[in-house]
Amino acid sequence: MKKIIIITGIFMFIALEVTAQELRPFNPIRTQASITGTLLPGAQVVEPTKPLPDKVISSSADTIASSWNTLDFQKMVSDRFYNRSRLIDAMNTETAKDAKLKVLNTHSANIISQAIVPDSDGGKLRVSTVSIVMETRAEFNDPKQGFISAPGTNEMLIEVVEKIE
Amino acid sequence: MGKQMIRILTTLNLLLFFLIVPLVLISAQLGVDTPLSRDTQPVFSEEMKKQLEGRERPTQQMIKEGKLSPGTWTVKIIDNKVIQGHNPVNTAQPLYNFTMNGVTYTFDRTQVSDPALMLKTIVIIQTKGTGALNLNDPETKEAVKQLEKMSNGTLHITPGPTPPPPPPPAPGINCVPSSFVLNMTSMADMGVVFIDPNSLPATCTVGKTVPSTPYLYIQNPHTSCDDAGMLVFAGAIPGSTIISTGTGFTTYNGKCGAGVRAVNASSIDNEFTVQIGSKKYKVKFSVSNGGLQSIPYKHSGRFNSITVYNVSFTEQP
Repeated sequence: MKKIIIITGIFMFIALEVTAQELRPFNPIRTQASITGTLLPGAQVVEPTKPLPDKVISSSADTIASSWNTLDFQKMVSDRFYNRSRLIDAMNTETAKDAKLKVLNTHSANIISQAIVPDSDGGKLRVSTVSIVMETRAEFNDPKQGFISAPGTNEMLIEVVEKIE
Repeated sequence: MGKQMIRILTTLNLLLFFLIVPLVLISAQLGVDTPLSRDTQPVFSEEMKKQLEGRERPTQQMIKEGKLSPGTWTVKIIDNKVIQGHNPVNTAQPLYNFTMNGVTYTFDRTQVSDPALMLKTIVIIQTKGTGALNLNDPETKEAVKQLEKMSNGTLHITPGPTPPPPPPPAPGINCVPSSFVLNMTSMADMGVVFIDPNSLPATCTVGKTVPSTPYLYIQNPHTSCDDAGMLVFAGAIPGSTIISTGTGFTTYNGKCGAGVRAVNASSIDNEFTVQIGSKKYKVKFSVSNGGLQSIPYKHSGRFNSITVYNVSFTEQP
């Protein structure tokens, strides 16, 4: 009798394990093969990611702010930005001409992904996707309301391309 | 009882065995997968891959131009998430409205295929419009059609608020029925019809001394003048400037002066334009002259009269 109870208990334990394994196929599992399949030939995922120099992050924030509401800003917006042309149009038509953006603080910067990509000249580019949390303030003069100061905190996703070779 | 329990448990064990063993084998096959960390996820979209393949990336261009060399880097914004407050890359306000030449345009600019070209077309309409959208004009019609096409069907053109009608012309004034007798017994006693346009409708007065505020004047020339009785002089005193003269005006050059603006002593609808301060007025007036008195004749001793009527001031843009 005891043997039967023990055997039954063992089978029940195995059954619980199997149930957990059985659920896995419902979620796509990322494998090395699936990643390399979407990359360009010769591109390599960098893992662990190499930290970017501090000046890159701080300079990026400053460059974004200084070019904001100028013609140079469109060069700062990636073609991958959702509805890029609409953003440029909105900035040209809706933003006050004298509006300036100031960076008050850069809270954190995390490298989301990084890869080495070959370029057409036979060199190499390191492409990093970085998330920066920036505290900014837009300032402009409104004809009706006078001086306007609009603070905001945004998590900006930027692409940093470095020429490494 | 014990045997029945053993039978039930045995059956249960067999069921579990036949169900679970195949699953264990399958899961063992799946177990070769190695979960990877977040940093190894694919970083390139299809679009980016195409850019790289087609060498369209700005970075590539910069490398070619020598602007990007080892150790340098470029930055581009890919996405933004507002945590709180102002969003510097806001693409909201999808509806674009504007009123021009009495017409309101509304369209969803997120659907506009080429905003720059659209704005250019709008400028064409603006320059062609004169107070209202003239859909009889072929170029305007074509531009509107182009706008509609570019807006992907989201453009709506509706008549805007009706512009206020232009102010009615100031009513004309008559310096009649009074016939202003100008006593010409002496030069100092010469009367002049002054027209005061400062508060429309204008008023007429007869004076002998020049008033201090801007006035227009119409006067009989002195009887000693060459064309006395034939012409009436008209002009503006300091403070107002006659810009141009029109219908009815001639220039008197003779004994009593040179380059004097004059109209026929009996004439209608004479026109000239005058500027008073920042405003311009078109002045229209008619005049009749009582003629020279024959007796007694002396240079400063004759009576004469003029009648100025139908004087109107119309403000000019």
